[in-house]
Amino acid sequence: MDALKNVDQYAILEISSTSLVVKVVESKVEAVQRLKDRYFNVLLRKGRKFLVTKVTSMDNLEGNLAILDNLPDSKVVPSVLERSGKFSFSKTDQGIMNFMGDASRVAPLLNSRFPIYGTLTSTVITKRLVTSSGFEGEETRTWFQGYFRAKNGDYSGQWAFASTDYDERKIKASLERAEEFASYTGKIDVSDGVYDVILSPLTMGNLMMSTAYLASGYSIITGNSFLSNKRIGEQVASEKFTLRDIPKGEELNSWEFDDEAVPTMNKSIVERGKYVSPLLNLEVAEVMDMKSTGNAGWVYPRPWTLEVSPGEVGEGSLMDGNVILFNNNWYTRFQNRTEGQFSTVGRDATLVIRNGKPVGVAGRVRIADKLGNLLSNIYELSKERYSVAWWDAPLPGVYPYALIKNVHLSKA
Amino acid sequence: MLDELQKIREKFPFRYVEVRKHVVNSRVISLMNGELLGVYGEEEKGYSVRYFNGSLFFTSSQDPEDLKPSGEVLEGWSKELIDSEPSAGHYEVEEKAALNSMGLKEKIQLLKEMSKEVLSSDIRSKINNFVLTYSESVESKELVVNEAEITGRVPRVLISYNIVMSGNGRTVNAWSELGESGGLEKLKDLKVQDHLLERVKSLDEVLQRGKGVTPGKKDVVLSPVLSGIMAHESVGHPFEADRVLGREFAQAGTSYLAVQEIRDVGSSVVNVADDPTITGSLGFYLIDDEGVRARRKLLIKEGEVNELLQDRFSARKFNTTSNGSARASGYDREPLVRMSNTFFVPGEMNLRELMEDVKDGIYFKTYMEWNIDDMRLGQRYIALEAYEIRDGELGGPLLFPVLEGKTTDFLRAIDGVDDSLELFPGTCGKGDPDQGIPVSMGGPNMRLRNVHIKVI
Repeated sequence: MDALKNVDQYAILEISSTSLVVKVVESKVEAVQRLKDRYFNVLLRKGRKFLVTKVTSMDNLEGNLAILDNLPDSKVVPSVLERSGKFSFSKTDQGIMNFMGDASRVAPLLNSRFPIYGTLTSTVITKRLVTSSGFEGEETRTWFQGYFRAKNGDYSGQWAFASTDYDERKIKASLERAEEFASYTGKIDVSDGVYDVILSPLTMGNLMMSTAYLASGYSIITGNSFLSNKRIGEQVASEKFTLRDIPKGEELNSWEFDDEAVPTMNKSIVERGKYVSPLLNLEVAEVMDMKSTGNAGWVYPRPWTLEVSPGEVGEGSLMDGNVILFNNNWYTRFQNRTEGQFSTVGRDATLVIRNGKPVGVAGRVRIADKLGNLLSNIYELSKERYSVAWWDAPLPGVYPYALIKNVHLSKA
Repeated sequence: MLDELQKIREKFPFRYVEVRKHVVNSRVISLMNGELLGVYGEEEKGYSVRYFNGSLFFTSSQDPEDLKPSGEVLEGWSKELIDSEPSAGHYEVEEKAALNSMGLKEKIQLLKEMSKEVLSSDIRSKINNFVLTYSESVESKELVVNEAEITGRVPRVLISYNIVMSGNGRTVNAWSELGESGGLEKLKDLKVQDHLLERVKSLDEVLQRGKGVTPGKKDVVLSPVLSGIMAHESVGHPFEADRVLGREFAQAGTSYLAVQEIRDVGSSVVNVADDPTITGSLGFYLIDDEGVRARRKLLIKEGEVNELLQDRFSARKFNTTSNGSARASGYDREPLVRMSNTFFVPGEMNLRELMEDVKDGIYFKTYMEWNIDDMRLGQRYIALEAYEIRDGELGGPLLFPVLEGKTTDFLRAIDGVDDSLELFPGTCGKGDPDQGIPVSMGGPNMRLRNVHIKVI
């Protein structure tokens, strides 16, 4: 566009996606949704003035260019990497494409002991980035994800998967694990107190998503993170704990370049308990006198896809002794991000395990503690890991089960 | 009138069809510590069709040519719907002062001045960070439901802020929103500046003078901020009929009404309403996205379950009529049973009367954390600003008392509500793909007797 010649820097990020979402209620298909989206996120910069706008057509950009000149300077100004050339990457799965054409394939997959609720979503997504530095990048990916909640009277179990290819075995395995959790019955009263707990990969997914967003450079410079007052290299977690952002892998939401044309990279946020790096884009990195980690987001750096490194023991052996296992959680709410104080509500099967055996299900207990305490008290992690994402933990990741000592639980 | 949508409608030869053109334009200005952080614009515009053909089908795109029926034959969970005649019509919220009557530069200047005053407040604590965000949006809808044509236009103004403050060895995070539907006149109506200055002073008091809390059973008075979140979370959500039926079981959860055969959920002074027709509210509309005329619903009447929020599909399963509660947040989202403006209905007492026979209690003014289980039964609120009530008099600030208990216990413990009503903005999440929809929530001051108070 000619008008773009009047700015110092620009970036145009076009996102096109087509999705099929099949919603399942009581083991029946409730809604078949086909969603087609295309929009342009545009960054315009002139000196220290900038504007970020989302438009459905580039023809609608003219008015925004006029606005730019009238803006005052901004404190933190997004930037784009001095990188030119064309880049193209495509990794699509034909199985996912086939599934998108025929939602009736879902119905026969829903054989189960208990009524099943959940969603299967397949997506083909293309991201194109053009910058004023001459970068033209294009990347296409396919995503397949699902979560199921099995209902067994007053009891329930839940599981999820996140994948870049179509694999009915993943659907079946998720259904089976949701049913297995739902099959535990018998209510046991758990009172307020301090317990050893096991967090399932689903629960880890929810809490690690929070941890990663708190590790965003923006959260850190605004004082809204328990990592704000930590030094790089400082021990912030158990030596058993390594949390990484891994956009270069095979996981859902992997990407080759970020919104500022910076190549993405796998990196540790916490490595064997030591704080290694915040997640950074170019401008927040400049404020913090560091280098971009390829996690732009204009202004707000963000994680792509996460992993927690595996432990050395089988998931079954984590359950030796007396522990409480959280199958799932939701409604994680921070009362004080600076302190990391939060609570989150157990959902589905919160198993009471005594002498290594499940003896019943606790009511809806909540974890009410500090995130830093939880990370520091990680005692062991399973060697088995699962790729999961679900409605209340939408950021995909690969997680083990985690045994955590001395966690404060509270019950309404 | 809506020829474009009628043409799309013709491609779908089914008994029930909704065609929607949905546009949301918004502008956000964000300041950090009085300096401009950024200006962001967003335009969402597209079309969708939802139709019923043995199952529910929904398709959306920015290009109407993409919208076609799909070929699958499915036996769906929803088998019938209430196909009462849709209501045609138009609804609109007036911008008394048009959103574009003030330039971007002036708006930024106004926010800078607000920030400057806040940052120079005469307080003992330190403001570590202050992010102030102004949002304006206009949501426009055009609908064809079967043959009926419906149009709506709702502008909204929202101020949100996040403060990190420290003092006396303590740190607090305070996040809040103020907002209504309408034009720029809302900036004045909402008294943003007064609110911010009062808030900072109040937080300073908490940090500097806050006293610890003794846990145990106490009387509690909840402010409209607390009664609002309770109305939304403990009554509004569990009274969504689709949730009671299990349609949100794997997403936003279930309801205590799905598993408990109870009618008397609260004391006789408890009345909770959901009303989309309130002028100036964030959840304002007059005809829903299924073409059903909106009205005030009394969810709880004198402590008893009175009415659920219904759409055409849930109403059929409950053998009742839709009460016009279906809404979608954008063109690429299906209409779902949603709250609009949910609140405890005021009574006839005043705040003074609520407090006068409280011997040892706590006034919860604002909260910093809340959450609730997915059955909407077990909940927890941690006060950010709370004050001692001793022998009927409001005392000094307390440090972060925790109110934790069950919905039915709380609603039955309410023995007095005052005659005030304040509404606050919120964004309500539900569905997959997730859709956050603007709502208001609120209520009067309410007194709860003998509830359990914990400490962090």
